Amino acid sequence: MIWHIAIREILDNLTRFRFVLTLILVMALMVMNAVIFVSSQYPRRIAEYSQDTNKAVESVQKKSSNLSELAVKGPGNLYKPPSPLTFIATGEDANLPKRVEGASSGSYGIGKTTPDFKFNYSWSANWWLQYPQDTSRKNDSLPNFTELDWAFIIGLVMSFMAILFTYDAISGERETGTLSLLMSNSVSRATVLLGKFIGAFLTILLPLFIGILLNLMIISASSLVSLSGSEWARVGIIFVTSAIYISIFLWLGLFISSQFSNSSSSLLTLLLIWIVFVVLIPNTMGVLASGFKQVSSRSEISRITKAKEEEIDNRHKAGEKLYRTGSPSDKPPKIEVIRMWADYLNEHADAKSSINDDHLNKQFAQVTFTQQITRLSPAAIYKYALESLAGTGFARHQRFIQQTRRYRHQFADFIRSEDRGDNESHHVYLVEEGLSQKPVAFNSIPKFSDKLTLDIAFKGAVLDLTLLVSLMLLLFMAASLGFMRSDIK
Amino acid sequence: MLWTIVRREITANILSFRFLMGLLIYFSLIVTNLFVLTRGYEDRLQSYQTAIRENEDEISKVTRYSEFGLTRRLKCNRKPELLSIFNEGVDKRQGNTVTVAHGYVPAVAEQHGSDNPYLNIFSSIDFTIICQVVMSLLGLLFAYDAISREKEEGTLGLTLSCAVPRPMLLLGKYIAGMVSISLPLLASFVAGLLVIQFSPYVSFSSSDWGRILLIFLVSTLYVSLFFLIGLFLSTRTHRSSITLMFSMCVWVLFVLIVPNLAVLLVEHASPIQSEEPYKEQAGEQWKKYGAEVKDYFKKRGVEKPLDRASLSGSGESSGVNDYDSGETVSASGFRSEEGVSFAQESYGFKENLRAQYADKIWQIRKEYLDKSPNRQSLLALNISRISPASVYYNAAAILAETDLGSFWQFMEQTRQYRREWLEYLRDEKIFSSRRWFTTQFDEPFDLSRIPRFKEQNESIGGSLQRASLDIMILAALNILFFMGAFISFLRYDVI
Repeated sequence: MIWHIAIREILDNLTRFRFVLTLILVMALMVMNAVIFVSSQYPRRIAEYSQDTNKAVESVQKKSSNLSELAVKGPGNLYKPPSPLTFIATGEDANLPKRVEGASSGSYGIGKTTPDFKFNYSWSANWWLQYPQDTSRKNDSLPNFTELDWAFIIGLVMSFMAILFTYDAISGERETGTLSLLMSNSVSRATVLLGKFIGAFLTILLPLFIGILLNLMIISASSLVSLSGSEWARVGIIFVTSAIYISIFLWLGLFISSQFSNSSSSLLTLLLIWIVFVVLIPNTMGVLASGFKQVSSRSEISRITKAKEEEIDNRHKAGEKLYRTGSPSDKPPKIEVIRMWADYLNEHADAKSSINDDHLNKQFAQVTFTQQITRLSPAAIYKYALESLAGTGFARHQRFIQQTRRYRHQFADFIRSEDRGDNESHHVYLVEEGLSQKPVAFNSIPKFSDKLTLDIAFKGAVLDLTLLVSLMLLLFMAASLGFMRSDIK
Repeated sequence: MLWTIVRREITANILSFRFLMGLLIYFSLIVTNLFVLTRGYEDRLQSYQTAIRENEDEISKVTRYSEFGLTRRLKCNRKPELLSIFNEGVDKRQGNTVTVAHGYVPAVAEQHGSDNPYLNIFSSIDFTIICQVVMSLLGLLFAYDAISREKEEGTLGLTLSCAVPRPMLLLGKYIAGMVSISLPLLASFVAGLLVIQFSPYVSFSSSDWGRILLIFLVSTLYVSLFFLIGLFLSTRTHRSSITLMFSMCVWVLFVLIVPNLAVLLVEHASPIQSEEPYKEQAGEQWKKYGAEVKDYFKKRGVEKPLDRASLSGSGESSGVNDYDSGETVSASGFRSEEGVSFAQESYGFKENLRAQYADKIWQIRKEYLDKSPNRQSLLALNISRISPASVYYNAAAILAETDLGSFWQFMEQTRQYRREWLEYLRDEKIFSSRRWFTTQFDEPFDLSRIPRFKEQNESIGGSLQRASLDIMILAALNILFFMGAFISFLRYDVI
């Protein structure tokens, strides 16, 4: 019986104008998305990324002629690889930094001549992780715009279409009087509702399926983008997620439709809900949230850093003790001087590093908090799920930062173990004179990598997927109960 | 007769469910949004005031004029536009603080006081976007069934069987529809203004009130356009459900898709050129400058200006970065009077030359900006004018002084300020005075006379003139669709 109703609904829907409209719209948008991605967006990003990483590799290669230089100046720029699934969810990647810098922040020199001692030393500060706001956006003066990715096409346009498909499913039949006619047969209300859902679901999924197929055909036909097995699996999960997301709006439409006896009222109510939850909430929460969790300003952070550095300087320079015993560059080298300077320089780098990391963590906490609030909107939940699966967006950026922090230890460990192999070295970490002066084999230097596996991507999306499924179940129950209790006339 | 129709339509509209919904949507959206954006404005105003204070602090710490050359440069801060509460435009994304020096002509602005740049990943909406998205939808929803529904119900034939001319019926429906859409808009706009007025930081000047009124009028023009589009579509079909689908199609296309698509296409079809060649050209110029300076000293048998003058504790920090060059010098004691006057003379030469080169380099940079990013932005702006939603947003942005043009005007003012500053330095002969490089001087050291940056706002007439194209497009489209609806209704089969 369900199928009977479903097939009737499908046939009815297929002949409607809204079906043609959805089909044309989705196909056009999906093709546009794929063409833009394949012809310019992705090649440009990849070219930029490989240019950047090549430069970074070159600079490491230069530094590898001397272990101590490499140890002090650090691994240089670490870049975030662009995801080949960016066409699914851009995740505002253009607004997020593309790199982290592990470099020395300056060189210094001190010369002192007093009756007691003579001191002369020049050095580079020890490297630490810095987070420059260096994005791949090229032109700040372009008008505001949203990328036409899947998250937009499905999240915004298709959810709107889902409403247009269901707003009159029940209220329209009430208006024309066919509902009571239908119910006078021996069909249960649940059957009618489910049949209507299946009918609408299949007819709206058809254009989406065609659109996605066209999109993926263009993308896989391109020689530039090659999707791996894990990426195809992620695309599969994304399709299922999209189906769940669309059914949320279908159930919502059926629920509201069952509560009204007049189709234009149900449409208006649905549009109101759609505007509030899909357009308004994801777009106003950013401003609101910044008021709740305060983050120190840039000038405050530089003030704190300056104060901390002065404190370190005062402690080490009290009574000129840092200069009195001699300079690390003295020949023959004095091991206690080298140790003292290593302590001094390490403390500086650690202080800057911890203040900076802490500040970034606070900024991230603010963004995460804002994301939590925006999760009031199913469109935002859907977008975050897609971003996690596609490996873009803020969650991905956070992971990238974690990876760079892990790499920081890996790199330091490598320097220490490499240094242990040199008998001439003093094994003092980290001052240039305290470490081996020998060249390092470039290939043995650990390389930074930030790969996203299916497992990690799925784990990142689990929360959002669960939310979507529960929301769908909730609206399904609401629609069933609502329809059961409603008057059929 | 017209009034009878208008009255009847208004009564029908006001009693309808959509009027209630419209009122509810407008009220909740506009009031909460204006409240949120007012808070955002307060934050930005505070960080602007902090920036101004910090600039004054920095100035007061200066002990030698050459510090203005590199280490403590003057800053121009842009005051957040009060009307950005209604239209954020590019105000937030473009920077608001500009560094000025005699060796650097400003071309880009940085962001002061953005405590968390990562929040930029969240898009935000303002009053104009609410109107752009919601009002257009409501305009269509009020109009889509105006004719086709009456035909379905058979009342159209009945009405026209009385002595009512068709144009009058159409006009009556238009007037009534506009009144019933504008009333809730007006009510929530006034409520929103009240909310803004509660903020202690906000006080509107008379020109602000003028601009607010104009923004409201442009908004009405925009909603009227969508009402007319709905009316036109309604006269083209004979079933209201089909009109509805057409209207939704128009809305999705012109409000959601075209404005984004236009920018996206321009970004990909006309990508930004590489800036490297221009940076190289600038680098060449700085090299030429370096060579000229070197020549100057070679002829005089020294390497650096302070070589002959300084006794102890002299230091120089200098930097050349693409389009930018600067130097801060300090000297604490001197060998001879003759050496000091040589240093004065040579800095006079060197820094004047640096300023001249900075002007040349600005021409190079300007060529790049005009050719690439600015051209791309203008192209995107023009192409997005296919959609009335973009036309409307642009007009409102110009009136709120948050558009790109206003930002460019601000940048021009900062360059004007640099000229003033340069004039001051030259008039007072500061480059060739001791105050440039040392704290040991005979002349009074008066920092209060340094020119300060004052931002000049555009007059309301100027804004109106710049917005006239967009306003005219909206008006023309209004007329076009009214005529379309009119002609199509004259030929409409009423039964």
